[in-house]
Amino acid sequence: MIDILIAEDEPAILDPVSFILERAGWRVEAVTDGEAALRGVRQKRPRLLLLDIMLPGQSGLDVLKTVKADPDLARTPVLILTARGRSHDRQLALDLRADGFITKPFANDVVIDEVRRLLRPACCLTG
Amino acid sequence: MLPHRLTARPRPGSAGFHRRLRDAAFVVPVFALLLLLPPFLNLFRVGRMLFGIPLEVVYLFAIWTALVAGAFVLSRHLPRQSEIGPEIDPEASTPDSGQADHS
Amino acid sequence: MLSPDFVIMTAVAYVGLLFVLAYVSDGFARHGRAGFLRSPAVYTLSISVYCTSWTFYGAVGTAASDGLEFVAIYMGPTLVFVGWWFILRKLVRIGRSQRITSIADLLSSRFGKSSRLAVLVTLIAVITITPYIALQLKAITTSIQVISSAQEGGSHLARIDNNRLALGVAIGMALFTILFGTRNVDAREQHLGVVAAIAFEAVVKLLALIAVGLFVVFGLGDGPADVYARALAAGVEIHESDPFGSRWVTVLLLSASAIICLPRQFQITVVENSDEEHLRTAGWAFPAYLLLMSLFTLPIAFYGLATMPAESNPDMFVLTLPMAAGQDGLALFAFIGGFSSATSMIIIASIALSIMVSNHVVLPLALRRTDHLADSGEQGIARLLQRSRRISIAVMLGLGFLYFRLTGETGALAPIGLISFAGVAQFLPALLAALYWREANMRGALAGILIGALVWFWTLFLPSFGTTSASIAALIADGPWGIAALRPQALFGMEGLDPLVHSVFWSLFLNTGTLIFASLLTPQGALDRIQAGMFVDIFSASRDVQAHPIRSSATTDDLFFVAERVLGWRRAQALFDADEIPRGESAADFAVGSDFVIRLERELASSIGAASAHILLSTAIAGDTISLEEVMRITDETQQVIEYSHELENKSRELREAARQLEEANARLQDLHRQKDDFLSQVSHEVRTPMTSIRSISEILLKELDLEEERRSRFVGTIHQESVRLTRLLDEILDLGALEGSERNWESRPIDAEAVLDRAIAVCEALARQKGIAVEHVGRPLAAPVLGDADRLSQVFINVIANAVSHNDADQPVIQVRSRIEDGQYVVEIADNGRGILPEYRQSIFDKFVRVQPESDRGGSSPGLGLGLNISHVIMQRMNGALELVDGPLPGACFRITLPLNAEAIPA
Repeated sequence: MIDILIAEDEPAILDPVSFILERAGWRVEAVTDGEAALRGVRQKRPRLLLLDIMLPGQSGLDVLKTVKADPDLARTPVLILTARGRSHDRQLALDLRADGFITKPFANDVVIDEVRRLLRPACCLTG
Repeated sequence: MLPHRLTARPRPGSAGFHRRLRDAAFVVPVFALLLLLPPFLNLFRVGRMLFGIPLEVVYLFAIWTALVAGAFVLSRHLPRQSEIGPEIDPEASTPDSGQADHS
Repeated sequence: MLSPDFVIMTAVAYVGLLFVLAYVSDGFARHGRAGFLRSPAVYTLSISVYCTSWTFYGAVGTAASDGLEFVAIYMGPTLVFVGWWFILRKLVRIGRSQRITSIADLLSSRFGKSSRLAVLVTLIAVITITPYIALQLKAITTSIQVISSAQEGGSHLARIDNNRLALGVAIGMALFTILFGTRNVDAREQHLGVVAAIAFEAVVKLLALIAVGLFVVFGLGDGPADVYARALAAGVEIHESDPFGSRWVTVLLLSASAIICLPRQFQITVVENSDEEHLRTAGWAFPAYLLLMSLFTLPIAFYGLATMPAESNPDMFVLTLPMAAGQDGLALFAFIGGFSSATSMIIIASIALSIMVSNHVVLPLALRRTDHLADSGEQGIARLLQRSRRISIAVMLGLGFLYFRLTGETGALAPIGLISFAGVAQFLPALLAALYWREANMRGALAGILIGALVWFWTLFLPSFGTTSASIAALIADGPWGIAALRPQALFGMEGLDPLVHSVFWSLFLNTGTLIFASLLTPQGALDRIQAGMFVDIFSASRDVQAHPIRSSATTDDLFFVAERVLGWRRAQALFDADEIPRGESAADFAVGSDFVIRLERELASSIGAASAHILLSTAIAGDTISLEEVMRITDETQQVIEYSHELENKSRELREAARQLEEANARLQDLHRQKDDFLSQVSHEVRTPMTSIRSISEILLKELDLEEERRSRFVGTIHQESVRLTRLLDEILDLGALEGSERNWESRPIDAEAVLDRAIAVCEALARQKGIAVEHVGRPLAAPVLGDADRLSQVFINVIANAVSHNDADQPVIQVRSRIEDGQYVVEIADNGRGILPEYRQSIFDKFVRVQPESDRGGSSPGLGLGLNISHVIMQRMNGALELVDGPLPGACFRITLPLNAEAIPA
């Protein structure tokens, strides 16, 4: 059982982000392309998907669409990470029912807070 | 015994009244035309006289007179230009149909 | 007792009275006291110009020979006027709002302001109305002859030359019409004096006919019943002998169409209308007038048939019955009534036709003569129109007189009138389509009217000469060249029909059919479509539907020039002042609103017709480079009026072309704009990625002080690496900017490209060795003199080789560099045995930010950010060379670099 699945193709970003999330106490696993992200979500059933938009192969938005269209997976919160900060992209992601949206570069605390916010309902149920 | 029906008759000046009149203005000449076409007309070509005048002549002139009378009544009541605004399209706002008649 | 001189003097005195009446009315109108002249009563009375001498004399003749058929001639108009709410109201509304000057103008205006259509309609109208005018001349001369000869047993017949009489009448009418009908050229400033005279004549003819009728029925006879009884006793058939059939229906249809389509009726009902509400009165009053006019027709005819000698002309019973009873005064009154009905028709018909001829034929022709116009000063066009109207009135009456002379005394009055009716009925399908069918187009209307008119000419007009010409009689009997199917009165074998019914059936059938099919099968022009909307939806149109494809780029002075030529200085001035349009130098930049242009066009149209106004304004406005004079000169070289619309078409084609080019340029601009956006968003992405890494890691490093050493050093390494990546990105962007903005001066000097290549390979070999890649040299020339910048060229070589190095993941990686001299070109090919370039990338490989390999390839030795190949490509282009992707000797990619050799450096 893992808490967070990170889909990010830049090792230089993946490395610190996994580090801070693990530091915060979550079990984290990483994939580097869209297909792997979908596979990961289906098999590992993470409690949250941290998704980069510019992924090789299937883009992050495609992955998001598929996840949200699948009744089994739709309740998995998806937090979008992107280097494309235009409001148009943000709207596109939110229209596809992304649960959060963070623009690169970001402060680490913002990521932690956002992840915490999205995972909270589950915390309360179990706690 | 039918007071409601009576009061429901369109009153002069109301929109419904105008609509009926407009329909009447169409029906009167068309119906008159039917009365003036051969099958009907030939019904009166029977060689009889009425008041010493051939029946078909009386018939034609009677219809003619009736037409004049009908047109007179209609012209009295058909809505005036200033009363109706643009027809067909109720959205258009200017009553003089936007034509530059007055310039 | 009534000498010819006396009768003629009476007629002249009557015309003099009309002169005074028209003159006084015009005077009232000029002083703005014409209220009663613009009353519904005068309007209604003037419409009764429909009742010509054909009604006055001919109806009795028709009644005597064909019974009740004459009723149909008045029943058609009665029905149309009783139904005024539907057709006439729409017609009048359109006529007023579009400043229509004639039926030709209406049709041409609706169908895309086509001058061709206007010319055709005018032509047909002239051909059709000429016999009608002749008919009036004939009625007048015959009546003078009858009334003045009966007394003295025909001895005066010799003294009165029929032709001279007719000529005199024609000249008199021409003078009157010219004097009062062409006072001003703006048809909208109606002919109040003339209309007043016509209304007066309407009263005179009605009273005269009723007087004769009362005298016959109650003076001579003893009430109507007695008249019929006497006729019956004298063996006259008082009942209808034949059933009402197709001829009745045909005459009904023809008369209904004539009350709209006859040029003089259109003139009075639509053009001279001063208030749409007048139709309300005319709707019942005109039918009533017709009823009164017809009331005594049958009794007069039957009484005449019963009492007059068998050889007397029934057409003249109205005169001969009172005369036979010794009532000279009444006979004279009747004569004046008949004279009234004839003159009013002649006057209005010639005014209507002269407007059509001058607006649609003379003006377009005269516009070709630039000099003439320029000389004629301030009111050039106005004066030209006035002159041409006067001349065409004279010509119309001349034609009528000529027709009168040629046909002589043959035939009764009614057949000639019906021939005219059938002729103008050819306008009916197009007219109805103009009012109600949006899809009807110019080609349809033109073709329909043309076909209908040709059929009418062949089947009705031509046969009317059958009694005077043997060859035409033969034609009627056998058909042209013996082709029976084309016999004028039995077209396609349709025999046994009344000739009138036959002709009307075929002409209207083919006319309507052609109109419909041509309209459905051919496209509708833009102007056609706009006008269609304005006509069909006249009652629902709102102000902003008036859009018009004229865009004004002309100065206000240009517009004023045009307006002044046509309207005269005073009206042009008033028009411009009303809208506060400035003129002169100070107004050079004043933008004239399209609504003003539309209004101006309409004002012009009220003087010269829609088609001419449109052409005049379009050329003045749309022709940025062509002046009005130039347009006129251009068209001068062509022989036909039609060329005007041709020129216009070309002009609009040029406009369309310009619009298309503009559109393309706009699309290119938008494309560039999009590229710029893409570029910025890409750059932003490329900057954000390393920044994210650096920021995130530095936050960790700042916060987590107890980080294990191994991780800490890895993080620091990443920061360094990402900083390098950022730096390189900035370098590349700067490079690109410099290249594209050509900020940097290029130093093209003779260099040895082969030496440059050597240096580049040397730089890259270290990198290649690191990855265990072998660099092979194949067939290198000794030297390659080219013109260029050595540093830049070196940059390209390094770029391409480094690209090959970093993307080669074969087991035994090899890079092959081969160079040669070929056809005056220095050619370098750099090939590798890597995976090659996927087909989908081949097109875009030299675009910005295109990376060929999957992103995962981008490790520590990041090959750049996708700008490298693009930069190289641009550099090679700058040096007149090329960088291409070709099929190489190895399985992987192969880039070819070509540069022209420096010709001067090659030893001869």
